[in-house]
Amino acid sequence: MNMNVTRQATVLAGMALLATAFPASLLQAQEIARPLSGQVLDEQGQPVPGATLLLRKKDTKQTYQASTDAAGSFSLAAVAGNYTVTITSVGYGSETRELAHPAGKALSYVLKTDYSTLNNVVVTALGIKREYKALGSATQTLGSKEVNDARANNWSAALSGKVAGLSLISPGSGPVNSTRISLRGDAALDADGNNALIVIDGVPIQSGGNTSGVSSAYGAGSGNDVPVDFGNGLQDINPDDIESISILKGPGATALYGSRAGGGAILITTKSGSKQKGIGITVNSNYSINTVLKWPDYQYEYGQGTGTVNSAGQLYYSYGASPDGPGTSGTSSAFGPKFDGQLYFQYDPNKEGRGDERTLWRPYKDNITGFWRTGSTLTNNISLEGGNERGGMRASITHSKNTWIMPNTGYERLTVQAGGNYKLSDKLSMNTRLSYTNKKSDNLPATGYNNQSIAYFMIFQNPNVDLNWYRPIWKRNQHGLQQIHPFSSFIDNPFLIAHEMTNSINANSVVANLGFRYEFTKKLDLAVRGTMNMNSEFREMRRPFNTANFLSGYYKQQDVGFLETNADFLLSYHDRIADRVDVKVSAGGNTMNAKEHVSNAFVDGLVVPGVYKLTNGQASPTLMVTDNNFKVNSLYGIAAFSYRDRYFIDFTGRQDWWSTLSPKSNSMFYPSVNASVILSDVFALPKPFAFAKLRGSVAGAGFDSRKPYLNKRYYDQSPFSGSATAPNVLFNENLSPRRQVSYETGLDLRLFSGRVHLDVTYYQNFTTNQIMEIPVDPTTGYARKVINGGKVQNKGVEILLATKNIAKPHFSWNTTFTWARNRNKVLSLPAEIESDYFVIATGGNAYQQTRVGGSSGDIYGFGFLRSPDGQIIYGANGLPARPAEVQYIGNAYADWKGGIQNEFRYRNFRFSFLIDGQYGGIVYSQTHHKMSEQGKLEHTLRGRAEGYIIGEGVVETGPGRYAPNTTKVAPATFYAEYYRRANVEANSFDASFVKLREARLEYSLSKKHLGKFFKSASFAVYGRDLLMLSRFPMFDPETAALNGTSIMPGVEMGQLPSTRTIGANLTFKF
Amino acid sequence: MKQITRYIVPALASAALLLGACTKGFEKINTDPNKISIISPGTLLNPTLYELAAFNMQKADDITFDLMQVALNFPSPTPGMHRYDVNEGTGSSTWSTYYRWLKNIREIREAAVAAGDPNYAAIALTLNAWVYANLTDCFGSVPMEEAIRADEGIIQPRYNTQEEIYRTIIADLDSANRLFNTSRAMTFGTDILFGNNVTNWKRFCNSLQMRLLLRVSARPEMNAWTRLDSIINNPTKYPVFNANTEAAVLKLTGVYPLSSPWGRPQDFTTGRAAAQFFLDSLNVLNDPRRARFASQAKDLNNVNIGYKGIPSGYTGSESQFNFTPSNLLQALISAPMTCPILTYAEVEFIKAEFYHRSQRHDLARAAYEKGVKAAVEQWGATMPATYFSNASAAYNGTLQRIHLQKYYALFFNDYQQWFEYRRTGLPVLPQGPGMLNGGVMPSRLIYPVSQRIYNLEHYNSAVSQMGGDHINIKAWWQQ
Repeated sequence: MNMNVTRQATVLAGMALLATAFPASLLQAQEIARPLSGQVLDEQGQPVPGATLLLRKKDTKQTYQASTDAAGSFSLAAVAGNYTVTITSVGYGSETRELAHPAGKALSYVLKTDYSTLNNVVVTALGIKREYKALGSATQTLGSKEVNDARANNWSAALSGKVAGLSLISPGSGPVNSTRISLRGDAALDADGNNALIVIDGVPIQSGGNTSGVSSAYGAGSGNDVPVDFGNGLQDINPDDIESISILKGPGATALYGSRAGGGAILITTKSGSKQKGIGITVNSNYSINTVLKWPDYQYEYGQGTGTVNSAGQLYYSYGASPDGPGTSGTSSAFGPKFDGQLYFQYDPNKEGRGDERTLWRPYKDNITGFWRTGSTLTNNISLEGGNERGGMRASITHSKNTWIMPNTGYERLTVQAGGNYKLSDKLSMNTRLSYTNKKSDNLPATGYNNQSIAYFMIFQNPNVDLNWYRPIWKRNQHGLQQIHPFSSFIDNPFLIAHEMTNSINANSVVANLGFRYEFTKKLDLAVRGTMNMNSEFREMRRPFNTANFLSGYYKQQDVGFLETNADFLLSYHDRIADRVDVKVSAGGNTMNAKEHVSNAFVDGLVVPGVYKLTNGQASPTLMVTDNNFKVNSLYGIAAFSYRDRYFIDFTGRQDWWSTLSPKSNSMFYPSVNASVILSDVFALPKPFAFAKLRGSVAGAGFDSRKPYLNKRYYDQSPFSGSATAPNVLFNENLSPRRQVSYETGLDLRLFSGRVHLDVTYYQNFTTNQIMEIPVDPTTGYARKVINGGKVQNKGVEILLATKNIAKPHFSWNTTFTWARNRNKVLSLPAEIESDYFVIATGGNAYQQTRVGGSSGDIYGFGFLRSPDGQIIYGANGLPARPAEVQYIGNAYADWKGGIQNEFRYRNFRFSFLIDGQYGGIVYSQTHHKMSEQGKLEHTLRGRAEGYIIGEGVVETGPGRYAPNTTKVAPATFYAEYYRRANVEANSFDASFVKLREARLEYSLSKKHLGKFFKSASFAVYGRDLLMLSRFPMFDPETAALNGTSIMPGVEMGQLPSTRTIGANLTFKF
Repeated sequence: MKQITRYIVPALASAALLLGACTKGFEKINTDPNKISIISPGTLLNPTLYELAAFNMQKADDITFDLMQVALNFPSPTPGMHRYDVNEGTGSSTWSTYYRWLKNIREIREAAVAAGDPNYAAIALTLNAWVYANLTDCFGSVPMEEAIRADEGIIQPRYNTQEEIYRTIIADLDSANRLFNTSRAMTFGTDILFGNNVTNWKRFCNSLQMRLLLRVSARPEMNAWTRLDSIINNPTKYPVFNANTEAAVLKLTGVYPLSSPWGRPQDFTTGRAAAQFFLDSLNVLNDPRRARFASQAKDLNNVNIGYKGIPSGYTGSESQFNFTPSNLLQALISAPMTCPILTYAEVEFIKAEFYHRSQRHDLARAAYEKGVKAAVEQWGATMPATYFSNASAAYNGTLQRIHLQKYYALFFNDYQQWFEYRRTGLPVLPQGPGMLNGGVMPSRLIYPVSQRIYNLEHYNSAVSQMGGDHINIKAWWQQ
């Protein structure tokens, strides 16, 4: 590609293209390419970065290509002549202008486009591109920079705060951190039924996770392993390859995706080769570091102990029995003596036992924080693209290496992608994309509350214990046999957890599509496409000898195979009738096949310590295999009419056939109607209204459970060879689809020549006939049964307000504000439930329990007993009285979520920051319970100096009569009872937060500094999750419990620290 | 518009043809390639045996240890089971776990009948009687006849009275004894309890019948003593356990899946002390089982002070005990370990009581001594030759003596110590001042809340028939 230095830009005002008419005859002789440069501006006069210009010489059909930099500038060299220029920009579609390039002069042009609302093209369901104004339901489009500006390990984290109505929850489970994305509230009472569908270039991506084989986040004492988050396919999408993201929240759009888009759909379009001559090379390097965002308030004033006193009545400490008294070192509680400069017999790491001498009683304030390190991620990406007028190709290779904040954790990922489109003939075109990802990790952290999770260690670590005492991991001469955990046998050595209790993964995935489009005529075309999403993972979980749950070790191999194929066709007809009516009719079909195979082979008990092989088991390996196969066939159609380009109406219909449902009721037809009116074209609106659109949509949808085999009787697997157990869940041979009816209306206003964009949506949806597992009377021989029933309503408001506060060619300031609230209400529960509530998920002693009139996010558990005036009732023992029944504690869902993003451009600088947050919602914290019970948090210092606490509240002196509580209780006893695990009320906190989610400063080199070689270059520094304001006392209120594959909201179950990311990014285009 | 006829019509026509194919292969796709839908009579047996034995052991730990002063929560600021704090939740896992495995047992029987295999059918009848006896002894009336029949559409089963249940299961055990065919091999896998030894299964069946007959022996209409007599005096027709090696004791090797039910051994001892009654009597007996069961207490200088427990139902602060009490040993629940289901010792103690009742004290003494020896050896201890020369150990013709030793023989054997105490009031347990319920031993567990939710009508009629749903309602065989 030829480069040239831009001359001083002459800014020319005016509409469209300002073309100066030069006599063409003068130029004929000139065949020397001359510099041609300029700037592309949008309707408001703001630069359009990243636009592609295709210049086509009118007489010779010779083509040239260029693209705009961050300032919207472009430059190239072209022979003199008259050109048509096609300007294409992401999310805007393309526009054509004319341009004359005279000989002998170097001029700069301003190409002013109509880029605004009217011609925006949105990728909608089935990849059908629609004009924005024709859409009857809400959609939001994000560009590449939204996910690349301030990179997260999982790109989807970057959607946070940018999409109204999008809810992102994550267990915060390490570097590959699965997320659950849902749109417009949880419609399904099935904990796994609310994930949004993710589609990448037409290929649906598995968004659920695969469990490591453990289904409960609370596992302490069960003898079980812990859940490990190995990530899901969503995380493997390489953000560098993303061109745009369409978020289809509305029912009309999802009606065409059918059952899988119950939680909305997120359509990702990746970059494809532009039709430019020569090679375009982009090199992108990104380096970021991660540190812990926030620590809980650990106390370092009192050391280990349960409050035991010596014969003199003094709190004392003794590691094991000593002349000072019996041992006080077996506990994980920190209700021992104050650090006052005194001396005690303590642990001596050299002796691996009690020291001979008394040593200074002191805290080790970095004995939790010191375990963590600064994490880092280095990502390098190279992409090549090129093409000609018939098509283009793009290939990219991306490598990421992450070391996470926990020692010996992290991952490495390599993604290779290639794709292109080509016009094979005038009528036939082809497009394809293939991406291969290898994700590898030697160790990913375990999550949840159990001995093998580092969260458990952090809870149990005592203030007087030096972290370094644990470092040798194994006792001398007992390598691999006896770990160093000198205090409580309940806690495993943290370095043993990090270095020897490893969870490794090696995953290979391929996402591919191949499509053809045949244009029978200009009006009629047929597209056929095949897609494939394949994933093969090998995981190993190693548990050494002498660990709390596995005395003689444990080793598990997990093979996960997943394959989903889709084949579809779409026949489209487009015509204009009577010059005013535009008709688009499409009909198509899809067949989807999914196969999942998970094989778990494990040996519980090893022969030779430290040898992790299935052949090293004390018994033959136990093999547990799970298969999930299902198929969905669909036929669908869409008929879209527009009248005078200002009235639009679409009708869609879809018929699905699901293999997972009863043969009697395995298919369903569901329609939708979507309409919009361009009010600004119909009525003469006051001048500030540049554009106004009213839209509305009504849609039905049907869903299967995506869980096969529920309509037949099968025996459950048993670890005993040749054995099985009778099913615990009663099958249902009459299983029918879940149904949803959705209504939506919205108003889209552009004011003041488009400088203010306001989009307001109100929606309501009703989900009925849910597929759920309800508990049944155990005397029937079953614990649960599968039924259809229940009705859930979600309604809410979504607001998007985008303003262009300043729009000058060299300085601009844009603000985007999003806000959404959703109200979830359970209107009815199946009569068969018998009880008046239904438990969706359980996290420790907190229940996600729903009742008619309540919400599916309601958290129930034990609370305090309170007097009529709201005071806590204490018993005669001075401890809070225990209620007999669980009560409503709060709702896991936020009242509202919002985000505000500001972007400033000044010449070659761009600065943006995003603040987002939520108001309302609660989180029950297991970590808070345990650390309070054990006296590890600062708030447990109250009462220690005095040696007692008098709980604030009343005692019942007679029926309905209360008097203030005056009973003194030892602090250790008080905190253990007040914050007991089952007291969900005392351990639940407001989950409201505000975060400085993203901040970024970018500098792009202007054309004149680029030299001949570079097309563009930019350098940026950024931060993610820089600051947080929250009343949540532990690490981060944005958390959830990971129960196998289910992410349970509102419950924190052994949280890992969340991170603050600071990074730098360097991009060159050649 | 010509295109419509040229392309769209054929396309729609072919789409319509596809419609027929839209559910093609669904049947096969929606068939689990992995899980089985047909079983052999042996398929469900091992998980059922393991899960029940393991669960029973945990219930002995949770409930029986505390009620029967074997061990207690320590420290225990809140009431705790040792102070008779039995609430609505106490029996809920017993209820749901037993019904879950009763379902499996029912399917074993159905599969055995389908396969025409009398041995597996008899095993299923034996296991069924075992579980239902425990269930009714915990709660009283429970659903039996109509239970576990959701497949037939019965989702609210009627309750049967304890008498109906006992009559049914005793009759079942009699039929099972006749069904066993010791010359026919068990061919569907190897069972983990008896290793396919049909004779031992048959002994288990008859030994269990002895347990059940003794349990209902106070009900004259059950004619239990006569029936016991016919079993004890007709070993050919009714073989019973004659040695520890024959007994229904599940051995957990620790080789997965025969693992200890305790995932973390320390959970067994944390927050726990041995009870004073349990150790004091062993101290008097100078019993070799002490070292098998418990650790020594330590004084404040960490010096062993012998086997010393904490009195059940104590009041006041833990600081009143100026020693570290004995605790049960983790070795009891660390594999290799044993899960008692029905021991040989119990059979001898049943005989001892039978002979004691008929005043044949020589036979009673012999049975008593065999029982004690078997109980000592069952836990790997060596029976001292001089054991019975201790006046407190020798048979003295009292039921109290027999039942003190039976109490130790039933250690860790589900709820049996408690059931036997309810029947006989033996051994005589001291009363702690902190005990609730007026210091009266609870006579049953409260029905789980699920019954009031799912099966209210039948629950109500069962409760009104029994006279209430509280812990002091006596079992039918107690009345």
